[in-house]
Amino acid sequence: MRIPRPTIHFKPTRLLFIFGALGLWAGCAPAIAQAPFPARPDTVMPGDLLGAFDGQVVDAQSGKPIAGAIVQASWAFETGRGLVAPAGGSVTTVATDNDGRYVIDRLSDLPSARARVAAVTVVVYERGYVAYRSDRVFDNAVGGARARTDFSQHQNKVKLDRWSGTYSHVKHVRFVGGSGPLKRALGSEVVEASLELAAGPKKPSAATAEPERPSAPPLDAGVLLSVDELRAVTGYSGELAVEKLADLPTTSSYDSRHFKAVGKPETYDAAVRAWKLAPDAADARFAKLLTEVPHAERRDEMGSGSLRGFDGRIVAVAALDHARGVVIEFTCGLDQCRDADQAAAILKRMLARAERLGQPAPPPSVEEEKPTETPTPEPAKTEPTPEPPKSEEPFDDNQFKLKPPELKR
Amino acid sequence: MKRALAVSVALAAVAVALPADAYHAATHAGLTERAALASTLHARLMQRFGRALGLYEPLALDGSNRDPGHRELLRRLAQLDREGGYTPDRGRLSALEWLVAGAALEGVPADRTRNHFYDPTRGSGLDEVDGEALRTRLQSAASGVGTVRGIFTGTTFDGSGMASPAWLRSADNAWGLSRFLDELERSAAAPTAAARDGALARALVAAGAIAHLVEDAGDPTFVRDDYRVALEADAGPYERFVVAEYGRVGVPELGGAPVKKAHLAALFHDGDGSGLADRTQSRFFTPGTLPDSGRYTRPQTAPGAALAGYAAGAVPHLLRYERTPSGIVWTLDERCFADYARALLPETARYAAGALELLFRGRLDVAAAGGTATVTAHDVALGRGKVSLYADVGKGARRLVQARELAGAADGQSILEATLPAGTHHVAAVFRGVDGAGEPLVVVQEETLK
Repeated sequence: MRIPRPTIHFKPTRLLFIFGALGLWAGCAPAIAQAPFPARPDTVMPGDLLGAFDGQVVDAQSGKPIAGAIVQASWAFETGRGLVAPAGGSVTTVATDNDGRYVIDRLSDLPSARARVAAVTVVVYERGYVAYRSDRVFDNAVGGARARTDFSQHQNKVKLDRWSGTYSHVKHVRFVGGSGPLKRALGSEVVEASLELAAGPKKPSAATAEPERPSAPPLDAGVLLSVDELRAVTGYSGELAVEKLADLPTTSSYDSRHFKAVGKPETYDAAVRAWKLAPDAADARFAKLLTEVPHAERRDEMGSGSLRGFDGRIVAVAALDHARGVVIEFTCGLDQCRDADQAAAILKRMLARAERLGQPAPPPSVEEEKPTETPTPEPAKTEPTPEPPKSEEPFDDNQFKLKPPELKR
Repeated sequence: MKRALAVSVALAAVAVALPADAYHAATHAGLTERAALASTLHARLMQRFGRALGLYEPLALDGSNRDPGHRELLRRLAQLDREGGYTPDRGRLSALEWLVAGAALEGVPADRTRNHFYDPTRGSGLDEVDGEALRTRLQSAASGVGTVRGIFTGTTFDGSGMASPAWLRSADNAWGLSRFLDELERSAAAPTAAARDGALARALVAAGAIAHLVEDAGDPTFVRDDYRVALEADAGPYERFVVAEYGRVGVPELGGAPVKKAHLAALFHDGDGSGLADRTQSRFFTPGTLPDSGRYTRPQTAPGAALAGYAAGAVPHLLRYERTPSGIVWTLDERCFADYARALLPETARYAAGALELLFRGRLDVAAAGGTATVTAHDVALGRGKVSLYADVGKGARRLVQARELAGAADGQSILEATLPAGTHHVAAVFRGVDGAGEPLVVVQEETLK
């Protein structure tokens, strides 16, 4: 079927000149779409899709700056006319400084002249918080996202809300997307998303009516191993700070402890990760550990199943208690634990206390459960109560790596 | 002189014109994500494919860069927007991300989109050559849709294409139904775990590509054969509205169960008008098929009594009208597009979810006792095909234990009994053939022996 088209009369030579000039112009630089955001919060002047971008990331409740948050800008290119397709893109990832500030440089690797810069998305992520996108606001109740209107190219204020246990990991993982360091930072949240999806949709009341009230008390991995017990078994006499790992925020199904040797490399550190789940979900979590832990070998030396693995001078042991739905992973540097056997002995002690998970923590007592190895007389240290959502370190999918990944500043 | 002028016009048009699009890659990604999360695919991957994390199971492509197919897939993946999460990280993506990447990749390169049109009333694909073939080819080559060589060989886009249900099954489509079935079978039958992971990743890419084709049946432009006006001249105003308004993460939830159909083709067109293309074509307009275009008889609509306003139909703002001295002028504006998107996106995702349910349907139960394994068909009646049983023995490669041709089997019927080699710790059963309705399928069951 023929669609009527208008007829335009111009002198061909003049047309050639005009179009030739346009063609040359088109060959020099790619087209750039108009930015859907303003240059600054106090103006309606449109920003520049190519950047640069700058702003500050703060805790929405306390207003305090968040250092080390991941900020990722993704530019999307496209090509074609009539029929259009993606034509690559570019990504820049930075971390916020001590004042929570970030600067993302202007896009330098422009696409070819036949492609256009079609869009840019800025995502901010810090473990324990709800992620921020330049185009959408995370909304657990409304399908996961609604439009954002307060993003600006410069002087952008990013207020991160703390994560609530009632939020959906499935929606959040979908919301964040991203690539490279940002995606790796989400590593453990995808496990939560998988468990959540397998369990079926959350009840509407949890998502809408009372979004801030957690559905169950948070898990406390502190009942499994105290700093004194660790010292008693390994004989380590240096200072050990007790923190939470940067895997995930504490929830009713997950908690962690990081025994961090102050002023020492991570081969002096030890860490506990504990999950309390439905028995089938615990099986799945354990199976996942078998694929995640470097050089993992199934040993079945305790509980319903166990494994051992290693990465350089760090050993890992993990065990499953199917009936209780408990999975415990213990990683220990070889300057802290003597060897994998010692790490396994410590894990065995923790597994014997699996039933305590999910119950109020008893006061730490070295007397009640004497370690099998020679204790070192050291004054007991009180574990500081960690700030619930804050994490010091961006996550890497290598569970042994406790230092933040290098990010472009 | 005329040819030089034509080339200049085409180049200039590329330089100054707005782009146009089908549903944008981000929209397809959002629709497919929604469809997958609402389907039973997560449970199927966990229970039938032995993937503990289901849709979140990390999968790496196998193959080397010497393999042209492998290189080509990586090259196409590199074209996608990094924001969407479907750019492989250290060669890995989750099962969900491979699926979503497949949906986004179906439009890469842009030339593939010519085969995404489908007019259910005529049963044909895009057919808007109209003596404009040369101009369209020049423009396509200049804008990167085709090549200059293609202008002379006739392969560059000229305003025509294959109907999407035919493209889905075409031998020319490297990511169509055949590829999906081949890779799904290999995901259980390949000898090594790495090869099985890679095959499952590619099967998911192909499934995403098929979901993309179904989703395009939920775009009025693609079922009303409207390339020239809606896409070329007007630069896809509805599609641009949708991507600007919803992006990837804002695509709404399904708002209902996945659509159930016995055949993939019925998701596009069904005799009772319940295919997605049927429903979209008969209820919505496009810029080039307004009531005065004379191109389609449906939907029927009439202007109101006021001088200007909106005509209602499937949605409150179906069309804008204005009474002028020369007659009624019809247009589509953003209020119309907002209504269209609110109605079409959830429905489109329901059909895409229906496609995923159909692609991954069927169940085989494997019971092992006393060194013998028995395979039973479930959930779907099987037609002619072949059932095979594979075993993992010790740390060796997976090997075929037994296979037999099947004329058909009812739901619940035992279809294979085999003696397992000593030391078997894991078995995989695969059926490849057609179901009771004659639709091709592959059913996989992974089973670790206690």
